[in-house]
Amino acid sequence: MKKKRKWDEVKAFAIELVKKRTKAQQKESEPSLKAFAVDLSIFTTLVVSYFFLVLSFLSQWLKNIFDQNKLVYAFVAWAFIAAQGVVLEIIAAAILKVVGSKVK
Amino acid sequence: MDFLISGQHISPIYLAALGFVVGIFGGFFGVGGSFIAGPGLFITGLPMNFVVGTDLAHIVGKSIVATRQHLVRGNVDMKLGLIMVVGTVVGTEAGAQAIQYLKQLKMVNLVVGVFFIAVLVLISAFMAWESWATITGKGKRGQRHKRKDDESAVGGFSDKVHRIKLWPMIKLAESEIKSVSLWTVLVVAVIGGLFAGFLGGGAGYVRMPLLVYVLGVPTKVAVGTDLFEVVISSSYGTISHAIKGNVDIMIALVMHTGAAVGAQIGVVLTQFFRGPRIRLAFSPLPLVGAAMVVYGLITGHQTK
Repeated sequence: MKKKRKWDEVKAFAIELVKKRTKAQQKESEPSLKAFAVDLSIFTTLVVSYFFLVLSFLSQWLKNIFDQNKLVYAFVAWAFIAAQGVVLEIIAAAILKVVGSKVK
Repeated sequence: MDFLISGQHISPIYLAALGFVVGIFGGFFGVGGSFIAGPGLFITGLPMNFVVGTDLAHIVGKSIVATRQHLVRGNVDMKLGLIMVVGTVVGTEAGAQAIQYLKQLKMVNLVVGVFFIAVLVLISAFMAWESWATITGKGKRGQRHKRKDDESAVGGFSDKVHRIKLWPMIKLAESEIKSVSLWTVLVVAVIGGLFAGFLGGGAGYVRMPLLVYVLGVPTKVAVGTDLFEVVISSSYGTISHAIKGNVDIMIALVMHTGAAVGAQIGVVLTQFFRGPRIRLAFSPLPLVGAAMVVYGLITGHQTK
């Protein structure tokens, strides 16, 4: 039961991420300069951390794949760049939600 | 910083800054931004094959971020974007094949080059005139959009395009188009693709005006939909180039650290500008495409 509730929450969060907002919702969620700066700084921190993580742990591994199998490298490269966009957006949105609810 | 895959030494701060500028352009105008990123990477000494492939890879990430932002604002017409992808791929392949063919005929290269320059300069001049006329209230206003912030001095042309009854007719709800021929949409996509195949990059500086003036898509939806299409087409291009060994993903990731942030700023900026003002700011961009053709004609190097 608890598991299902958690899953429903995750589903609702995912839908909220890509759901088109109404004009009223857009107006309501229109970020103030401060809120936008917070949003941006969280996202920037995540993106830069992600890059250094990849640089520290996976740089040599990526080079090896590049030398050994270009097909695998192609899909891994695509996955990394897409993940940097999608996953970090999700994490940033989740952090903002938590921060927002704490402030409220 | 050493990049092992391409074997280059490039400053990461420079790459992130380059990505940041491209990101703002991408988020605000809905273009891939390869006309800035390409030369920006090339001057670092990166080989041309890596420039093209790596540029495409960073565009994927940046466009995903910007598309998501536009999606929640109701600025992405998924149906239109998916249809456009088909036409764009066909047009891009045709453009690339045409280039290969034209390389054998020396004079034709010059003729086609001059033709493209003329078209791009005309698009730029037309957009500047139209958006200025709309802002200052001169000219006849079209009744294209319900959106009050996106009137146009030449809206009547897209109305005529919508009246072409060539089966099958489709409805594009997000773009507020009740009925338009599928073939019209495909032709627009093929024309955009031809420019992309000829000039390299995504040629968003041609596709965006076509979406607005020919199909009558509201400016902000044209920006968002173009970005959605860029996600798909640049993903295809990234994988294709990576298989050929033309992508240094580490360079793309550094560029993306700046581009992802820039794209968010670019998207938020669109909220503060009305459609005609976005089009006015966009109008010099086709001139960059024209400059690329001039460069190719003078030096004999293709920019793609």
